[in-house]
Order: sequence, then structure tokens, then C-alpha cells
Amino acid sequence: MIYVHNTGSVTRKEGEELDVKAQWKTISPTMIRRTDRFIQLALLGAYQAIGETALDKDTALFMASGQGNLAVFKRLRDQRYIHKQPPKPVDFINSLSNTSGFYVAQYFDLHGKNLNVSRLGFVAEITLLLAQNDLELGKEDQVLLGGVDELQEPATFTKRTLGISDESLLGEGSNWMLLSREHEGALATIDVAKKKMDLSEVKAYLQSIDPACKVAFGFRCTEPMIREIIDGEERERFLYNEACGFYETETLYALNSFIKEGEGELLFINVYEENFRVIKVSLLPRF
Amino acid sequence: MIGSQDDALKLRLKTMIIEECEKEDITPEELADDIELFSDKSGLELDSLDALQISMGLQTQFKIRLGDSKDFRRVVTTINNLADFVQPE
Amino acid sequence: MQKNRVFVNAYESLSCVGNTAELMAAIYSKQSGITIDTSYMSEHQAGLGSFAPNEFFSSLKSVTRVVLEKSNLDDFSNTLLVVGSSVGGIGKSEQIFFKEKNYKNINPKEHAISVISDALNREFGFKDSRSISTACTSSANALMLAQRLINLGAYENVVVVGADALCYTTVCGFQALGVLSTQQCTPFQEGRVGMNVAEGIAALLLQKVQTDESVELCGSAGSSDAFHMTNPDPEAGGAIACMQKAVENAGLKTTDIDYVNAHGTGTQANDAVEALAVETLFTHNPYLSSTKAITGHTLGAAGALEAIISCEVIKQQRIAPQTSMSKAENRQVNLPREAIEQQIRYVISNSFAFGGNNTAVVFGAVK
Repeated sequence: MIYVHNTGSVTRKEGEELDVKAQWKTISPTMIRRTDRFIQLALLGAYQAIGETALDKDTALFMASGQGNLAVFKRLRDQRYIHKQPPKPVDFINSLSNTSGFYVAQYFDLHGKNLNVSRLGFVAEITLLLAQNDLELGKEDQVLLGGVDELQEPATFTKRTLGISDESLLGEGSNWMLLSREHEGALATIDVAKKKMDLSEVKAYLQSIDPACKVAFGFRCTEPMIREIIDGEERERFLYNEACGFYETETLYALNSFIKEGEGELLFINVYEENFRVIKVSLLPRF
Repeated sequence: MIGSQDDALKLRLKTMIIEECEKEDITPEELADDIELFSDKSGLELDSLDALQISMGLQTQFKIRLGDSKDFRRVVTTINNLADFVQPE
Repeated sequence: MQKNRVFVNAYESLSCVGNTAELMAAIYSKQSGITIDTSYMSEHQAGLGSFAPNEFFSSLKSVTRVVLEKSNLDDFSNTLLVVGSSVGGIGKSEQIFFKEKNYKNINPKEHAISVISDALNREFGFKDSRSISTACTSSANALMLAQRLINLGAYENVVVVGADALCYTTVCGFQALGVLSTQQCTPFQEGRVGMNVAEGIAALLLQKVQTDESVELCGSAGSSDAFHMTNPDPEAGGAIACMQKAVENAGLKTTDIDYVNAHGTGTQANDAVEALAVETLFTHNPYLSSTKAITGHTLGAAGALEAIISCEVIKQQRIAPQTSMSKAENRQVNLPREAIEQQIRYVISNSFAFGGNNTAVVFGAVK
């Protein structure tokens, strides 16, 4: 069993503003040098979860992103092809996938394993599963896990390539949780199903669990698909989507929102290319 | 005019260094002309990555290309020295 | 919990010196595959490692196919794929941008790190896939992840692929950092000037079952310096911690290690700190060498490529010599000038990345 101790989220959807620098300035008077908006988003989200708490130095850091830092890639290409100049050293460094992880590790003084997971579809689920494996194996006692995606405009183009409908609003976010083997003081337990499922398996799974367990769906799940999965069952849905637009790591926003505002248990169902993955969160009594 | 006498040039150099090294909490006026930029006294706390950024700024904004880190250490000492190198007369 | 043991049962690679057999021949005869290039940067010369005219994506498939053919499996339908890459599909996006001078037709699905696993999935139909991207430790971290999954019993077969192509972003980026050598790199040499960026593909099949060909993946560990984005901790704290934890994870003592396959990029910063780490942790003075003088630095592929080299060193019972070094900077470490035949039980392979991201993997002869 793995336990969620802290959660923190920063999110926005298309049309809203999110001034990351201004928010950071409420935490610290100076911005961390050489960081760009993507890295700042990572730091800001992690700070919402951890704040000034000193974590054990051995805490592992797992960071997930669906798209990674695309803005820095654009800057590097502009430097080369439009301005005909060599890449700026800091931009090249920031284009590495693990740079955000470095800044988070440095800020929170973490010296353990530092992983960055990139994948289109289920990136948050897979990263949670990796953390769950390491915690269950006793390889790690504690994992700081986050998902970061930055909104890329123009949105129409991004929606097409991400395979989501034109009506869905895109979003961005940085959602973090502190996972541990320790039960004491935990907010919730989390259980990521190890295997992916097909439609009939996910239906059967949903029917097998407690009717009081709520259900929530990822943005890639269409309404007809959701009706098919629920199959006439009277099951309460946890609607987190109103506050958040679509991004690859929105799963973590949904889980964090439930841990913050929900009650009881939640099954989060997500789909990618006709495969399903499920995560179960159970809130623990709060004293 | 030799660079170290040219206040406008020195201001441009200082502004470039502050921008490239993201040291916006320091104003160009606070940066003395004769202080060793990479020493503790400058208060800038610059490291090797800053040297690379400054090198790139010299290349793009001043069309000055420094060969290697040895050249850099010879030229980028104080603002006066750098200005003299950029504008020898 | 009873942990499953993890065996490396088949592998193949492609680097600037050719396939794995050619790679080992080049290492033992000290023949570097680095060539001097001016096509990436007209104003600068750089020593690079290229496997052109082999095309990257078709080579990726053919290297992986060789692993399937060498394995005890009929197909990969019951096998997990774990990819380690730092460049992913950036080369493709660069080509589009180079031709069209805009971003309209760049497809995020083809730009991402996961392009490598997508291409292999379409070709082989793996059960599932993951991609890890932590710059130069990417495929070492992929090996660590694969080991954990087999330990835990989540999978019985995992293919780890480390793959990175040469591209403008990395060549010009490392040039901008002032760490590229204009010649063949000289790891651990006094007065060394820098590294060679190179491309590479390396695929390994890790399994729960032991075969006649098995080398054991005994242990692995990672650590963070949390010190500086590009510079390693000068006291080598992170490098020492990850090697020590990897040896402990393997259930060994540091004195059990016979050979250290270094990260050894040829930069001032890396080699000085790595030599210090090896000197400090391995007081019995095991052999140490960097094979990047032969292959160049294949970035995200390096961990997997050097895992294959480590397995070959164990199978051939022959230590890889340090090429291109006449005068060592650190005299306390044991850098062999020629290949050495001796009993080799355990090898540790290091990978260190920007961001102070360190990973070490321990391989052992099967008893």
C-alpha cells in the first residue's frame, strides 16, 4: 500500500492567465536564475505540495510530462534558423528533459534518484506506477512525484496533434504529490492497477468495486465511451474538469482535487488508443 | 576613443552582462568599472555557465568572438579591460 | 520479499565503429571511430561519431531485430519495452524546420522522446512501453527501471533500448557550452579539452530466466548532486553515493568490483570528479577506463551501449584499455594502457548527466 502525504496543484485552462513569475514572487523575492517558464511551473507546483517542509534527503523525485518543454525547443530553433546564431548555453541546458528535475531537487535539497518520464498517453499513470513499484519493493521510502505540462498556442493545432476534440479546452498545470510507505499522517492511499485493460475489462472492474466509490474520467474519454463503461449503473461522478483544461498530466490534477475536496473513494479511468488504465484513491480519516 | 573612456559603451557592456547572467537585481550603476567581475568582490557570484553566456552576448551584440576560455579569462576581467578590448581606440 | 534475479540474455548495438562484434574489436585494438566534421558547424571543427550512411530509424529496427533473433522468444508480444533517449525525435523536427523554415508541420507526436518507442512498437508489437529521458543517464535509468520491474515480478522479459541520433541541437548545444573537442576525445588525460558527440543504438533483453548466454544485472542505483546544473559536485558526493548504493543493491562489497566502465566523457569537469569518486570509493584500485574514446559520447544511448561493453568484458574476461591517453591527470586510479586478460567477476558502469543526475549499474558473471 502506498500513501499520499501532501498534494499541491497549479492549473489553468485556455483563456485564463497564469503569471508564474508573479506567483513565485509571493514565495520568494527572487526568481531562481536561468529557469524558464516551464521550469518555474514545475517549481511552483512542487512548492504548493511541499512548502517550507524539509524533506528527507533520500526522497526520490519522479517528474512526468506529456510534451516536455516545447517552448525552449522553439527558442533554440529560432536562434539557429531565424537569428542565425548559435544556441544560448542556458537554453540548450534547459532543453534537456531532466533540467526541471534538477531545479526541483536543488530547491528542496533532494539527493535521491531523479527520474523524468516522457510519454504521450498515460504518462501520469505510468509514472505513478513506477513510484508504486519502488515503494512496494522498498527501494524508496518516499517519492516526490509531479506532472508538468505547459500550454502551447495556437491551441487548435495542439488539439489536433494531441487527438482531443476541438470543443475541449486545453490547459496547463503542475501537480505534485508526496508519496510514502508511511501510513502515519497520510491523507489517502493510492493504488495504480498494474495492467492496462480493454473496454470489457474496465466495465467488469467497475462493476466489481464498492457502489459508493465515485468515478472520474480523463479528457480522452468521450461521453459515449463513458456511458458504455458506466452501463446504466448509478454511480456518482467526480467532476474535476470544470476547473482544468486538457493536458497530458491532468490525471494528477484530478487525483489531487479529489484528495483535497472529495470524500470516500475514487476510481479514475483514463484511455489512450483504446486501452484503459485505472487508479483508485481512498481518502483516510482526517483528525 | 578607447573603450574604458567611453561611458556609453561601458553601460551597454554592463547591461549585456546583467541580462545574460539574469542578475536583474543589480543595476548597471552598481557595477564598478574596475572590479574583477568573476571575483567575490563583484557581488555577482558568476560561474562557468555565466562565462559562456557573456561570451555569447559579446558575439551576438558586439560581434566579438573569443577563441577559448583562456582568451575569455584574459579579456573579461574588469569592465574597463573588456571595454578596451571591444574598442581599442 | 523474494526478488527475482535479472539476466541479460541477448544484445546488439550500432555505433560509429559498427555492430557489437566490431565495437569490441575496436575497443581492444584501440581504434577510434571518431571522425573530424565540419558539416554541422561550418565555422567550427568537431570530432563526432556517426554511423552514416545507416539511417537512424531503420537501424533502430534492425538492431532490435537482431536481439529478437538472438533471444529465446518468438516475438515481443509478452515483453515490455523501456527506451532511454535524450534526443528522441528532435532530428525529425529539425529536418522539417530546416526545409520549411516554420513550425507548422512539426508534429509533437514525432518530436517527443517517445518517437523511438512508437517506432519500435509499430514494428514489434511490444506488450507495453516506457520512455525515460534524463539526458546522458537516460538508458542507464532505463536499465535500472527494467531491473526493478523484473525484481518485482511485474514482467519476465524487458527490452531496454538506448538510442540517440546526431542532431544540430546537441552538436551546437555542446559547442555553445565550450565542451566539444575538435579531435578525438582523451578521457582522463592531463589537459584534455572536451568530448565527442556521437550517435548510438543499443538494445538489451533482460529476463527472469537464466540461459547459457546470461550475464547478471546484479544491481543499480541513482543519485542527485543537487549542486549545479552543469558542474558536478567537486567533492564527488553524488558519484560516490550512486556507485556505493549500486554495489549495495547488488549485495556486494566495493572490493568485489574488478573493472569500472567510466562515464569518462573527456571533459575537464566530468573526468576529474569521476576519477576522484573511483579513487575514494574503490580503495583496492580496480581497473578503470572510458570507452568513449572509441565510440564518442552517445548521450542517452551511452548507458545501454556501455552496459553491452560491460557484459562483453565479463564474457571475454578481458578488461577494456584506455585509448588516447598518454599522461593521466589522476595518478591514483588504475587506467590500463592495453587490454588485460584476467578473472573478471563484477563490473560497474557509470553514467552521469547534467543536472547532477547519476546512475551506476553493476553486472556480474553468472555463477
